[in-house]
Amino acid sequence: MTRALPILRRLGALLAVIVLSTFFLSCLLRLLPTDLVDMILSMGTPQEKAALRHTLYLDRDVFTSYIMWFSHFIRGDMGIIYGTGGGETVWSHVTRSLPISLLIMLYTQVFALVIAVPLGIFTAYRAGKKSDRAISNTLFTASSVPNFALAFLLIIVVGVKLKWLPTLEYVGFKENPFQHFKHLAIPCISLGVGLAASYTRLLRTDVIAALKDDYVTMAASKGLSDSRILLTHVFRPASVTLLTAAALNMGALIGGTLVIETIFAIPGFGFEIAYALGTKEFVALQSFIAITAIGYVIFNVTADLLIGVVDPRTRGSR
Amino acid sequence: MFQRSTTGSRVMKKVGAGVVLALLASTVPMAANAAKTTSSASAATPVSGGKITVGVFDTFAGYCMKQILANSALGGARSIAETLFERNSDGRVVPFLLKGATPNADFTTWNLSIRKKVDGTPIQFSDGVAWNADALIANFNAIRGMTYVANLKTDTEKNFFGSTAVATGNIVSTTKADDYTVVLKLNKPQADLRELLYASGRFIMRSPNMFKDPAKCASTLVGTGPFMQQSSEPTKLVVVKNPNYWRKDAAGKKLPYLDQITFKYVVESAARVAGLKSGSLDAAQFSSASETKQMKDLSTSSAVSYFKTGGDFYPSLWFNTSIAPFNSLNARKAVSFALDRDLWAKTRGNGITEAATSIVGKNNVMYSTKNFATFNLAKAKKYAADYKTETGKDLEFVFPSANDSSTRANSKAFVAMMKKAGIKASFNEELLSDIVNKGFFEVGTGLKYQAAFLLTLEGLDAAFNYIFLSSNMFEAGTTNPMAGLARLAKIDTLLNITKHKDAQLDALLEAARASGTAADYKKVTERIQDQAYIANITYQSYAMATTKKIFGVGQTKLAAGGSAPAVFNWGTNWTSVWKKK
Repeated sequence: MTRALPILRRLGALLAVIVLSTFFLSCLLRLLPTDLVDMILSMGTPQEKAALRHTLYLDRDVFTSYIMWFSHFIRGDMGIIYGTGGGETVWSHVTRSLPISLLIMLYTQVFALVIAVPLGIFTAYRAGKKSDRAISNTLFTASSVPNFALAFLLIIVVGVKLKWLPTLEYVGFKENPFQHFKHLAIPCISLGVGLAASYTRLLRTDVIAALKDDYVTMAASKGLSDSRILLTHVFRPASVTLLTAAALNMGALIGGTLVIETIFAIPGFGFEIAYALGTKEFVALQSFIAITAIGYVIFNVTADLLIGVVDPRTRGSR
Repeated sequence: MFQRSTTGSRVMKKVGAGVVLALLASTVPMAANAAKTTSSASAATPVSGGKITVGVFDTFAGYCMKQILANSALGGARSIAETLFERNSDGRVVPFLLKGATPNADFTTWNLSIRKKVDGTPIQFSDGVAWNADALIANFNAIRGMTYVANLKTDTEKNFFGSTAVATGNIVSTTKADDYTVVLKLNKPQADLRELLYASGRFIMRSPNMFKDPAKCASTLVGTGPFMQQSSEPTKLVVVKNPNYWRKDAAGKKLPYLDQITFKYVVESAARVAGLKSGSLDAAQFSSASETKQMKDLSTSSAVSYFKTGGDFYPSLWFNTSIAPFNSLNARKAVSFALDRDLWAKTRGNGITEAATSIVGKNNVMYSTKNFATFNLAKAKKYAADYKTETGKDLEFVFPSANDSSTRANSKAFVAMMKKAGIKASFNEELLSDIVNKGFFEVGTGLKYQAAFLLTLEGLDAAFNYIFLSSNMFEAGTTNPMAGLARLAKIDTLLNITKHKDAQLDALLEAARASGTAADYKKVTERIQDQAYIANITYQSYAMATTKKIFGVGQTKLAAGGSAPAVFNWGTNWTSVWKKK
């Protein structure tokens, strides 16, 4: 029970954050500089507009309408896409696009971590040396390049000049695994380079700090090899910050995917958000942003729980 | 020009969502004036098979009467559904799904004869329904709004409701004479009915089955075209070869050649260019509204074949004549004379766009330079001063601007141009949907803004432009059963964008429609230019670029002879396009 309590507390906090964030979102819908119903039904009769206002819960007070919207939202009833004749539901767009974005985010994180972990440990181990300075400066430069600029650079060099990789579209894994990875390579690299750079720097700092801890000195005095000390005694505690950063960056990645998916015409969740913004599908947008907020919260709570597993010392304090 | 192409298309989309017509950002190709910069070799023998991906800058909102497809998205739909008339590469409107249209002496009754296959059997929609008089009348009913009226209770999304009903307000009745002939009666004489029924390529013929279910009508397009819809999402339309397509090429080979086309929405023009050059796209479309840099790059690239229309699309600054300051002729003239079009074409158009010399382009039947306010700073200042004398106020106005960077830059340049003439112009950045809503739908006043940039005039003919210039499409005494419908009357009022109540202009329009002659339509233009209801800065064009593996662009032969033009504002006719393996 004592072990479950922090988890329950965390889940309670998660629920509270979700409720608060989605409530503010529903308020935003009412603060739009235009009447949503007029926008959807420009030429509707007063009766038709009243009916739509009722359907969107806009004829009730803020709290009642929020409760009604939320109760439908959690059941996957998120309304319809109004610009397409009512034939498409928001939920169908979510189920179609979200897995694509989650995959992109996963690949991006894997790419960033695969680059960052060895480089972070290496640069920490070689702190102050030429190789550390060279890598650190390169990473600093890389992290200062916006992902969309890097994307265009890669498109021109790798896609247009060298013709190694495609510059548009998405191919499902089941459809063609090779093409799947080929199509996602430039988008994930564009998103991942900046992340890899910041992860490396974070890990380097933590590893350097950990290397100065007494238990590392003790391990070294016991005659353990450098590699064993680094991987077993240093990397594990040093990775706490990395994990937190990775979780926090999952939320930030949603913003990144919005731009990258638009550039590469990938029909992911970010693309859907951009599309909903562009076409003023505010009903859909409300659900999309709510899902983003929920995702952000879930990633953070998951990170908190994982950190407790990786570093038991943090369980009590978190 | 003040709205990016996507903007323009969104305008259309919104407009279409309720109202403005199937006509708004449409097109007119202008095959006749299509300026082909570089082209793919066409001597080789066409090869059947292959799949291509085409990058477009508009989305696929749906396919019923309510969802107006804009520009490049319309090209996708037109690969599935065909039109009664087509415009050929000479610029003439020729029968396509119709075999012919014959008027009576005063152009008030037209006999429409329906085309059959060469072997005399009926052309079929891809769902097996025959293309005959019943199918044509079903389509007219949908276009005219009668399907909407018949389905008021079941069509909750109002998918059967389209602004096309206003565009065809002059049609009073459609009667089946026999299985392949329909008699169409008009309220007032119209000599250019063929052009109206072409409607810039927008009056596509749908299978009558589409009109049984409004939701399906919006989601699934079924036509007689060379391709069939396989899947459709707002950002992607996939079409596959129609195995029973009714036409063959000159050698007797079945059309179309391609197995599949994917029309992919790629909003970023730079991504479309890169997609072409990397081979991720086989073809892509561009608009000079905000993509002149890309068009310039592609026009000189050896890696692609490039086709471009003439400047046959006319973005205009529409003055709201019902409120100050543009209820004053002095104010309208001051702004019109302050427009330095040559400078604009150079600085904002990258040499791609052409400075306007009339409210429509040189290839349009309405073209006339008479009374057009060419750039004259002295006159602009004089009219601004006259306005102050007239009203006691400085000439100031606000116009809306969409919030993308390209439009913002254009708006700033426009403000600077006005400043030189002592006119205080400013802009509010607004949601495009708001601009459209207030621009078209504001009940009572119509255009709520003092002025707004909108792309509505286009093409070679006048039938398409007529609706935006006339103050009344349902003239008094009409027997059109739709005339009494409040919703349509409202749209009719709103489509008169400038809100003019100019009886002289209406009379000129009616006379020109009756005669269909350029001389009469020029009088309309001259009246509009004299009263400065509209001001234009530059003309707009569209381009299609393909990889060097794509052939046959502009090679599609039309049923009545001649070829389809290489590119329209809605893209290309894909029937004869093929891909080298």
